[in-house]
Amino acid sequence: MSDTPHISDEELAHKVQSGDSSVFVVIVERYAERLSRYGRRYLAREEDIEDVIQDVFLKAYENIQSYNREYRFSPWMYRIAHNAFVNVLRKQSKRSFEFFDFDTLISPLRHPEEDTEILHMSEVLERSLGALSPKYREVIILHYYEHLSYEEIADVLHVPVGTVGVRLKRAKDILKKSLPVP
Amino acid sequence: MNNNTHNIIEKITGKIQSGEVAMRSHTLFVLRVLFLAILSVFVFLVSTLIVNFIFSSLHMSSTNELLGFGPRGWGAFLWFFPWGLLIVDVVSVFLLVALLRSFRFGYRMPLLYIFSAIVFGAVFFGFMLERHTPMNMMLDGGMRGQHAPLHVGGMWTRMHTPPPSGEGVCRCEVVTIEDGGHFTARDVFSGLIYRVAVQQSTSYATTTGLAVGDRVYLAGEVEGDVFTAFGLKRGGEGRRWGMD
Repeated sequence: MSDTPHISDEELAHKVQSGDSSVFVVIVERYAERLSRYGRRYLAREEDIEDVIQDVFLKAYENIQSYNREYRFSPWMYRIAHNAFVNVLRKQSKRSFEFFDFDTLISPLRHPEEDTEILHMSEVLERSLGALSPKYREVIILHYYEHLSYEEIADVLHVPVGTVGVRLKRAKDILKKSLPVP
Repeated sequence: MNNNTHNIIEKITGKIQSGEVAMRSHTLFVLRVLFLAILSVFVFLVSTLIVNFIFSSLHMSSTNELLGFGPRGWGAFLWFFPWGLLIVDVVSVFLLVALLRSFRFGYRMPLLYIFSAIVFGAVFFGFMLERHTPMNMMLDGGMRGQHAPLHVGGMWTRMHTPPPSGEGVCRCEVVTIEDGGHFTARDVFSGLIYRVAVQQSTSYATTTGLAVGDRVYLAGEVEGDVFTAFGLKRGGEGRRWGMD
């Protein structure tokens, strides 16, 4: 569907801002799977994730004129997603939930034995991630899974860059303690 | 593209094309930013004016003189300090911090830095307004002429009013000088007459050179019409005390 692989997210957003709404579909194509993966760190049910993702894209479309082209588009998008998932979590706080979907950690081209080993490690990491408090879990996910820089994470979470660094360090310290010694 | 993505695209495209979802105009976001900026400036001005009012209140009521009377004077200063105004100012500072965090520079800066910058700014400008501009005198003239709404005028009047003499402070005028360092003084505000004696143990009160007609600021203990002072300061020229 998309024939615009060489156009950056920022240029696409600018086109939408200029009135070319049809281009928004390309943004949805590019971010749907990424935000679904991100959402699986917050919510367990796929239906819930899909509903939230839909709301995220609709909010992004409604508020696209607030996006500033001087900055990267990705953190702006993740900011909307972060707020949406956090709001849902707050409403669901009495319902228990757990993380799953280790597939996003696994490369599809692996030797079967390595698959088993990676699955085991993925299970351990996922259990460890679940043991982290939300504010530490978030920075690990955004940095190591979604590959955002410290500055971009600061823009997503609306915290100082230094705070991102501190949270990452503390999260890694907690993870190191919770991971089994090889 | 998987089925989920396809579903999402279909639903979103449908809502956009049907007009159920529409892009908000750029002007709206510009106005929102402007509104937040103006509101932030307004709240900062309010905070600065409150600080100015606190400084002016301490000055006009002579409560700041208590700081020159040692530990007991500091205790009395803390007792008479307008804590209510300070609490209102702290609330305005927190409100301003919340508003500034809507901007990138606001949330990128550590909370402590932004809080300190606002407090320093409000205190600095509030102090400069009080000491280096005639604003309070002009407002004072307007308030005393009852040109202000009653509730504001009432607050302004209380700012001038020292704590009641029975609470251990007095803006007095020396009426008679007696032997042994005693004297009588008239409370300029209430008109009450006190027999004043200076505590032996204090180094913040001396009657040397005191003359009839001198204006003095006293801090001490009151029992009946006897005022035992631990602090005494003579009024300077041009000092406006009481309602005279």
